Amino acid sequence: MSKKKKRGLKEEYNLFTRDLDWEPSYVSWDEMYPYAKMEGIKIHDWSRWEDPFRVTIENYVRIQAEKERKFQAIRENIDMMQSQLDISDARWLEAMKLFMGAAAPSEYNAHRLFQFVARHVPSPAIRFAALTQSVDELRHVQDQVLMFNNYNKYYQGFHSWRQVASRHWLMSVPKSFFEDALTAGPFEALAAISFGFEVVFTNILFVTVGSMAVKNGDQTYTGVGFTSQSDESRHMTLGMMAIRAMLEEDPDNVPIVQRWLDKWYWRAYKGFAVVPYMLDYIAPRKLMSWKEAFEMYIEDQVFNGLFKDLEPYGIRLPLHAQDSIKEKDHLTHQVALLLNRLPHVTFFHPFAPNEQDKAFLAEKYGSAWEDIWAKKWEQQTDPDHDHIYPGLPQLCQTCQIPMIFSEPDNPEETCFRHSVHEGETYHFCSDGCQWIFDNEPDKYKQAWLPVHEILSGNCGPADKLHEYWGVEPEDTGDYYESLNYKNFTKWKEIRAQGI
Amino acid sequence: MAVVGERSRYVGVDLTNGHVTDAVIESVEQDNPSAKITRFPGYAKVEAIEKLVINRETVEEALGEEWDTEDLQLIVTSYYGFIREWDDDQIIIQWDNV
Repeated sequence: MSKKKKRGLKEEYNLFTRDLDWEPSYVSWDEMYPYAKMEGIKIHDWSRWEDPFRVTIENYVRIQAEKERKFQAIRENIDMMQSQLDISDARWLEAMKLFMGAAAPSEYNAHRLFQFVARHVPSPAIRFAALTQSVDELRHVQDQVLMFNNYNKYYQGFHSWRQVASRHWLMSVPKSFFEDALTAGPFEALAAISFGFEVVFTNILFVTVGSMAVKNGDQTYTGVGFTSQSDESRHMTLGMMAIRAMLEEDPDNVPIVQRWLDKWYWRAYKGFAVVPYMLDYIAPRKLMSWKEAFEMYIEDQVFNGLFKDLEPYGIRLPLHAQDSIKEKDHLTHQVALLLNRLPHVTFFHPFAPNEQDKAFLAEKYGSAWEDIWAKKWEQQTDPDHDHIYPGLPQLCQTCQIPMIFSEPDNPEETCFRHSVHEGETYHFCSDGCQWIFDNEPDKYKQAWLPVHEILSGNCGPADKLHEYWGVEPEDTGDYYESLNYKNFTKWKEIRAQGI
Repeated sequence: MAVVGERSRYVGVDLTNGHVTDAVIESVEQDNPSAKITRFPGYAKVEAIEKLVINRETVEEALGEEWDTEDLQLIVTSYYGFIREWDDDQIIIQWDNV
């Protein structure tokens, strides 16, 4: 497939991307880029910044078409080979409902965000990279919707992903995260998604979940996950280029960028709170624990790697980084217990860990498991008590997750913070979330908190919430009592009999 | 502070499994003395201390056919370090502050 080109990669990139930029003459520069200065970012010379990937339209289209052909071939094969039966256990699909249900609409929001960045950041290199990224994000959401179609043929619970994504109370977490970034200025939007999200967190998400899908025999996710992730390196490069450009161009940018890193590290970290649950609890065959993934991708690659290179600019670790490090032994169990207490108001099937899961958790979490979380699970699954939580949980005003997280130095004490703004009291799950609110109270006071809206009657009658969410009664409840479990067990039996 | 500060700082790429990845790994092992390869289901983590070089010629030798450096995009799912160079002959990923 290799064709020797007339021009080299460098020359091609300069001619067809960067050098196509022009100075406006019919309107002033300020009119052409109305948001470029509002955040206080000062850039003196954009021309010295280029995309290290050196993407031109020609090679972009060729490479993306190749990726898409590969993906479609995998998709065809899944149907042909009855690959749905190769999944380790249908329980795996519960992770996909949560993860892809949140990811697909987020990809679409990312598409919108990069359209905005491509229009408003006055750098030819960033604008072109943002334009290709916005097209990537559209490809991802389309491939992911096709994936729902694959799952939907055999497994229940994927029928109304769009309604669930826009209305279900759990989905307000990723939704509010992206809408937060979308309503920022163009440079903050870039720092938020290209850096905070893509550079710092997407590895832990797409690479580990992709690998876990391989281990669990899910060819559908393997195909879509790796094809989406193959664009992420380019996205990460955009994030790093943008951050370095801001830091190098003017020392006045440093405190602004630091504040964005502080904010978006924490926003993304909280936004990912369900990932530990997928790694440690849902996956029938485990790959690595959240703690291990966090140590490899966040502590080692980001804190110990990347942030060391940002130090000379005067950048330090994100403000609440230490809290996330302290939480790595506990976060996963807190999320799992919460969802297990709310099986009637989820759109997927939670379940308590079985003996095999518990052995893994004991091995990976050692004393945190033995001393605290194993006991909590004993209480939670004690057959003499009903541990379904019947009410509506209190939500954090910033991340919109129920208030389940603990004090950084005491995993058994729930963390509650509050701030008073214009006479109203607002509640937070952590110092990080409170700090974010306190910097921009007029933004976060507007948060659409599902529990408040339900109680205000804005989500229809309280006894018909499932209809509002697009959730059927059989989509809820414990996995081991679900139709998916019954069907999968039956199919496996039929296959084992050789019929 | 829980962050590891003592060990060598690696840079690396995550590559999805396949015959091109096998060739890239062979080239990396040949051209980078500190190369470290870790296999995971579906992908391989290819790392080197502070600097990782992928040479087109070495990849082509291992692959037995022509290969464009831009085609690394088809298999790279993630990387860490900065892309210092990506031209027709070479890709270099490294940290600046070493």
